[in-house]
This record gives sequence, structure tokens and C-alpha cells, in this order.
Amino acid sequence: MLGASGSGKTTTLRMIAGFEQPTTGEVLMVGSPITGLPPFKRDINTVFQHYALFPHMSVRENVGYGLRMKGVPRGEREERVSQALAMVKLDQLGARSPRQLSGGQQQRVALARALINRPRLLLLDEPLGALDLKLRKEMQLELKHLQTRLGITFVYVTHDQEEALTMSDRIVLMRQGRIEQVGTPRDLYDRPASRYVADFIGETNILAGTVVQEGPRPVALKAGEDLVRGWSDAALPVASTAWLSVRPEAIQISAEGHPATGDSVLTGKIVDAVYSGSLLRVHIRLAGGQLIVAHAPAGTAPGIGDRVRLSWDAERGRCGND
Amino acid sequence: MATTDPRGSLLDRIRARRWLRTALTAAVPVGFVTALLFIPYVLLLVQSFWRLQGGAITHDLTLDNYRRLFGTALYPNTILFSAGIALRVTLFSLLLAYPLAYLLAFKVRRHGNLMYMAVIIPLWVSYLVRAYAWKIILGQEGILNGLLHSAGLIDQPLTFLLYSRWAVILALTHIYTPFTLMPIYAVLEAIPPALKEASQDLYATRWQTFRRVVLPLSLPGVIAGSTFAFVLSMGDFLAPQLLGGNDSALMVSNLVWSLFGVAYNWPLGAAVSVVVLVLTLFLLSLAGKVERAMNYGGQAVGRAGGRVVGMTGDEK
Repeated sequence: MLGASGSGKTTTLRMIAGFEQPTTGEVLMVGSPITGLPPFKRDINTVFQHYALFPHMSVRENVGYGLRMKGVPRGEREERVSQALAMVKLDQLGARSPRQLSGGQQQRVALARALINRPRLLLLDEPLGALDLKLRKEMQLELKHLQTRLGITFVYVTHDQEEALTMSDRIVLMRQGRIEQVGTPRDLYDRPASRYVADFIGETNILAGTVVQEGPRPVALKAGEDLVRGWSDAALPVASTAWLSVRPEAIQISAEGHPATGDSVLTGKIVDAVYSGSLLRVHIRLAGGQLIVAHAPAGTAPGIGDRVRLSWDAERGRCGND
Repeated sequence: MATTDPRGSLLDRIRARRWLRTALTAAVPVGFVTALLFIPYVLLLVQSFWRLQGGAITHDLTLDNYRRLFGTALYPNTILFSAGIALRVTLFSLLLAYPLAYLLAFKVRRHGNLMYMAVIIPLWVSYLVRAYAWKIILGQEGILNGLLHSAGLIDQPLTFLLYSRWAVILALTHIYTPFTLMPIYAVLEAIPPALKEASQDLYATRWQTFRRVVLPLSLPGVIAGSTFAFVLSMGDFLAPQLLGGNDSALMVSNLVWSLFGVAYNWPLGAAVSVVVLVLTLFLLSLAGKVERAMNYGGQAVGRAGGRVVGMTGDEK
């Protein structure tokens, strides 16, 4: 579940967990309603945002808490606690108190504490938010592997679109308490259902214009003096206003004299080029004043102030009218 | 620059010397504590080794007072009796304060502050007035007897209500319950809601969540609150004096008072005080140790404790 802060993703998660009651509607799990059930009767476990480890218990006691409440006998409990700690590579630290662990280790304890119960559904509320970037990347992959191995459904809340793209099989993008789009990461990135989605997921350039050619499917927009083309799933009537989103990596930059490939062509002037390791982010100002970002190979050296042509194929542009 | 002196003004020179700055800052509180607490305690300790001879106090040192204190059943018994009263007050205060603190911390969503104030405000009313109020409620012509009489439940006023150890326990419980409540409320409020949710998420019922998570985490507050109630009511003087009747003689403060006053045996009075003081200090340090061992991170108890101690300070 992805969304800006205040979009309702945590509230939704809390309704699934049972901490919050929906004012209307129902929560279904595998087809059966669980709306009225208290959290302790749901076959769901949660990894909390700030881990919520019990400070007065050791790591082992924390991990074994759920089994203990379920009445699992001590022998089996101890064995499963050891397995769970081994799974998150904390076998050596069972006797410690949570306070004596680093943030990453606490995160693993929280994960073990939830997964040991073998829930049908695991909820994670921005579980990696407190970790530094490098650790976060590692944990993202680890979580993904764990999820695939255990075969448990994870509902993962994040406001980080990159994290959502990396980890999800399916993304629910939320906005102001509503679902904006549901789909695979590729769906959301390549075929955003709205301008908001296009803007929220990844980096993009959005051009506003008037529809001059309705289709078949590639739609043509008149943006200023230029004619640009992109795809739309809905029919956009001629003369209505619409937007076009085109990703920086879809845009080709060529010198003004050369014939441009692709069926949308814009001209502009390079105002800046920012080196970012693997590529160069080139900022181009169009005649109308709008700034466009396009990617160029890191080895190239575009001259600031040069006039260039920008072009892309129609299928790499995306149009809509919301 | 305000001054032409190359070494700077007097203030500048003081500022430059760290030790001097520290000493000046510390002088007032240290002087205050020394003059009003430390010196009197030392005097008390010294006096407990003096001798009463023929109605006059002589300054030769002796252990006689302590021998008499531990050799006569009256004195240890009085201390034990006071401790017994204090223990009951502590127990009743806890029984009242814990549920109330729990409600205030978790259940009352609106007007929580107002209710907390309602508990605290009685502390601003003079202690004497509060103790006297019980006299009015429990007395022969008192409110309670009046109510029972007009309800037709009794013909003759009940005389056992006032002037008994139970009246003392009742009044002390009333007076010291806020002191028990404050630290408990502070620790309960500091428990992150996510911990309770995590417990419920891990299949614990509400009762199990209370028993396994909330209660253990609130113990530091319970200990702090109990210590206040116990220590304050053990050393209490006014409530037994006003409400205790014959039983009041059995409280240690009243014993000390009569030793200093009626009996004019200051050395023995001092010795009793020293013993009680040592017991109290022992109890406080024990409570402090247990509290620290159980305080998992939060500073809430310390803060509440400071507030409570501050309040007793202006009260007595």
C-alpha cells in the first residue's frame, strides 16, 4: 500500500489488523468477514512502525509471546523461538533486552515475533522507515526473499514509491482515503491511470495540451506550438484538454540539425546537466518556458545553451484527461 | 564593549572562571539544604546520644536512649503499629489510585486533564482542613450519622466512626491517594499505545495484555506511589491527633511529640526519630533501587516523583 502521508494507508492497515473499526463497509479475509473480530482473534500479525517490542522482556520472550498467549507448550515454543531467531539471523542475541539491539536488529526481532505465529497475513507498517538507506535496501531484498520462501501474504505500507516498486507484486496507490490505482509495479509505472499516479510513481514530465487527434489509440495533443503523441486507454474527445506524461528515460536528445526519430518532437535549449553516477540528467527549457528532464548516457557532454530536439515514440507517452 | 578595563568587568571575570561560576550557582541551594535540613538532622542525631538527668539534659554521650528504646516494648510496638497503619493506607490508596489512574490514562478521551486536576486540586486545600472535614463527616453530630438517622437506619448516633484507627486510615487514604495516583498515572501515560496493540496482535486478550504488558511496565510507578503513601502516612501526625482518639497515642509521630512535649525527654524523642528516619531512608533507597531496575527507558516516574516531593515541600 503506497501513498503520501495522510492518504489513509495506515488507517486501512489498522482496520485489517482490527485496531480500528470501519464506519461503513466490511473487512473480508479469504472471503469471510472479520470486521467485528478483535485483533487477538484474527489470524493476522503486524510488524509495527517503531517495532513496539516489549521493553521488559528479553528477545526470546518477545518472540515467544504470541505462542505463549496461544498456549503452545514450552518445549515446542522454545524450539520455534530458536528457529525464528535463526531465520532472522539473531540466534546469538536471544537473551538480550531489546534496548541492547541496533535498529536493524530490533526490526528483525519484530519480524520474528510476528512470523513465528505463521499468520495467514502479515502487515508491515513502514517497517524500514527508521533504518539508514543501505540497511533499508538490504532489508528490502531480505523481506522479499522471506516472503517468497514462506508463502505468506504481506501487506506492506510505505510512502516510498521506490520501495513499493522494488518489493511489490501488486501496488495499491492511495490518495485522500481512496484507491487511485491498483496494479503491478509495471502497470503503475508504464500505464498510470491518472496524472497523480504518473507524477507520484517515478520521475516524469507532464505536458498539458488540447487533443487534436482522437485516435486510433495514439492520441495527439497540441502542447503550445508542438504536436506530441501518447497512449490513452480512454477515448479523449477532440478539442478537450488533456495531459501527457513522458518519462525522462524515454526521451531522446538529438542536435537540432539531425532528423529526430520518434513521433513526438519538441525543441528546446539545454539549461543544465546534472551528473548522477550512472547517467546524466539533462534539463531542457522549451520555447513555452516549461522545463523537461531527459536522461542521457553519463559519457556524453551536452553543451549548456545548445538547442536540441527531444523525441519519443508514441507508445512511451501516456495521456489522460483527469 | 561596556568596560575599558582590559581584564573585563567583574561579571566577565566571574564568567571566565568555571569553578567560581559553579560555586556561586550552587551556593544558594546548598546553603538552603545545609541550614534547614542537614544541620537539624545532625543536631537530632547528636541529641539522641545525650542524657536526661533529673529533668535536665546533660551533654555526655550515652547509648542509654537506644537501649531503652529497643528494651521497652512500647517503642518498637509503636513503630510497628504505625507501619501497620501506613501499610493499610498504602494498600487502600493503591486500590483507589490504580484503577483511577488507568481510567485517566487510557479510557477518558475528553476532559482527561480536567479529571486529573480534580484529583490534584484537593492537594491545594490545607491538609488541616481536609483532616477536619473528616471530623465533620464522621462525628457524633456529623454528616454521616445525620444521613443514617434521617434514613431511619439508626436511632442513636454511631460513636465508633470517629476517634479510631479506622478514621485515621480513612483520612490518610483520602489525603495520600493523589500522591499514589500521580506517579502511576505518569508511567501509564508513558506506555506507548503500540505496545498494547502489539500484545493484542499477538493473541493476548485485554486481561492478558494488562497482566503481561501494562502492569509490569507500570510497576515503577506503583512502587513510587506506594513509597509516598507509606512514608508520608507513617510519619503523619495531624490525622491521628485529630481523628485517632486513644489510638493516636499508638502512632510514632504522636509518641515523638509527647516525648518532646509532655515528657520533656528530648534525647529519647530524638532517638525514636532517628530510628524512624533510618527506617524511612532504608525504605526509600530500596524503593529507588527496585524502581531503577524496573524502569525500562522512561523518565516518567522521576518527573512525577519530583512533582510530588515538590508538593509535600510547600505543604508542611
